[in-house]
Amino acid sequence: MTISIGRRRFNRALGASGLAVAAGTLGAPLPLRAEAARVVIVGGGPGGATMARFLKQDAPELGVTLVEANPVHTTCFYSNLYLGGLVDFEDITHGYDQLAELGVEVVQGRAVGVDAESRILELEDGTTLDYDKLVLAPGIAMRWDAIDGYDEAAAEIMPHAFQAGPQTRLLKEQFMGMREGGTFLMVAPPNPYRCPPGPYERVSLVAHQFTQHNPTAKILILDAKPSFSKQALFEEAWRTHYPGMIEWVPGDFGGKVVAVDTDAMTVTNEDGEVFEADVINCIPPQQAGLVAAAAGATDESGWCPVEPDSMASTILPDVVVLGDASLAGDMPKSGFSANSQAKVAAMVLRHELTGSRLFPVRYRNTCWSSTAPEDTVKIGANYEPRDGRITSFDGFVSEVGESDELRREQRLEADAWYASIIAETFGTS
Amino acid sequence: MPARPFVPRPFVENVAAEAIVRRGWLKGRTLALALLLGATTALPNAAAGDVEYGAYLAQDCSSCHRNNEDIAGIPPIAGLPTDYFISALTAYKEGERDHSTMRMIARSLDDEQVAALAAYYARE
Repeated sequence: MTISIGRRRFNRALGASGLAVAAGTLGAPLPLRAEAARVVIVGGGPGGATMARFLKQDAPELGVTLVEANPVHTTCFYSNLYLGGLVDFEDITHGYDQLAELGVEVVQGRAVGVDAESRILELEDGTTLDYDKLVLAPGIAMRWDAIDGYDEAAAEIMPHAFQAGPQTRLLKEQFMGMREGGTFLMVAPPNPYRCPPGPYERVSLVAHQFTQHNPTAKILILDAKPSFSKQALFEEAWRTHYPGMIEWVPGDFGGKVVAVDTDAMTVTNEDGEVFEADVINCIPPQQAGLVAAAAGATDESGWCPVEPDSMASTILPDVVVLGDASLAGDMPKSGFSANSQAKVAAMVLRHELTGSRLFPVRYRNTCWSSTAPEDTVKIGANYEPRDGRITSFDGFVSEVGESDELRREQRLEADAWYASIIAETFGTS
Repeated sequence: MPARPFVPRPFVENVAAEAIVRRGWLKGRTLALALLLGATTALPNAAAGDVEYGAYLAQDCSSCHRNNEDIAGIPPIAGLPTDYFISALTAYKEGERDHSTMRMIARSLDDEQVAALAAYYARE
């Protein structure tokens, strides 16, 4: 990695100086600012870690600090493949050593507040960090008040597993140990939420486990929504791979769950109907990670409005919001989106802080979903600022009835994407 | 960034650049030699594409493509000859190559952007 970074910098210098190389200025030091600006990034997921890498790599003179509560990050993307037995937990867990080696100051701590006027970030332990620019990439927080009885304690009995880590392991232990012929019940959230196809990929790969270990098990999805991402593709996969195992109840036909009872292991829908299950994966409504609200960067929706051409907060000065926490127009809340937003925002921040070139803004997203070990579908789109909003243009989605070969290739493609985005974000390759 | 029409490079330059890549002339040589060759043949090619813009655009590619690491599923694209790079993206754009993601990406790139990417990746 070090070698390729070194070469990349060399090439950049070569490119930037153009014909001047021939005139013998190669090796002349780039002018450094007298006082290097300091960028503090909150959250070491795909948004924050990508921002840290690209800022430090492309503008080494900047002070770049990454504040993250945990020593490692387990990616939510691909955590369903862990549940399905297709990857190991270690495969989806990454540290920050490579970013530190690049020169990013990694601070383990929980950010709890922002004084936007004085440009100070406050950590839970009382530490304060001054910044010139603050990047908030805190991901999601659960709305503990949204489903009656579903709070942090309840999540230890009915895991959401939508922030990957201990919750993911807990859910897997529960359903792998479920009694023969038992019921796995998923409470699927209303829009907007992290990873739109995630709940349905999860159900598919839980079903994959059940076909091997518990073939008479049943899966019931109570969904707050009337429809969901890549629905025709998932339903095709369920008919093909897991016939009769999965039942989906849409929001307008009794799917809206309003209460849970962790003692009785039941959930209740808005019609008062009670459903009992052996394992309950309750994915509640969501909001931006808590520091966003504490900072005052959220609006009444609980998410953070941003400028479409920079991801800058429309509420707070000198604050950028990335990834799931942001209201990014047509972009879905996904790791790919966060990574794409971080690169654009890093380009703009670098321009603001160092005078580097400003380029046209465009975002991308692709989401692969594996419905079985060798059956992967995908959806993707381009996005750019139009009429003051991040707006999708062009795009693609897998089609029902595609060949087995294409679906197998797409699993390989998804694995390669995972390796690439992880190498790029956490620099573990 | 004002739009700038893409001007194809003269045929003679293409042949020279391809010869360098095909014959591996750059392999195992010193930096000085590489720069010398660059000064005579590679730099005019790069001038057709804005390498710094290409480096920015390439950040979209690097979400999926590794530069130098061949992972089953997505091929590496660093070091591809400029002509090949441009013709491949054009083939996706025009539907001659079949890949949903790459067709979408290629359709979104104008000639200037394709040239910038090609110039950048030829140097990586």
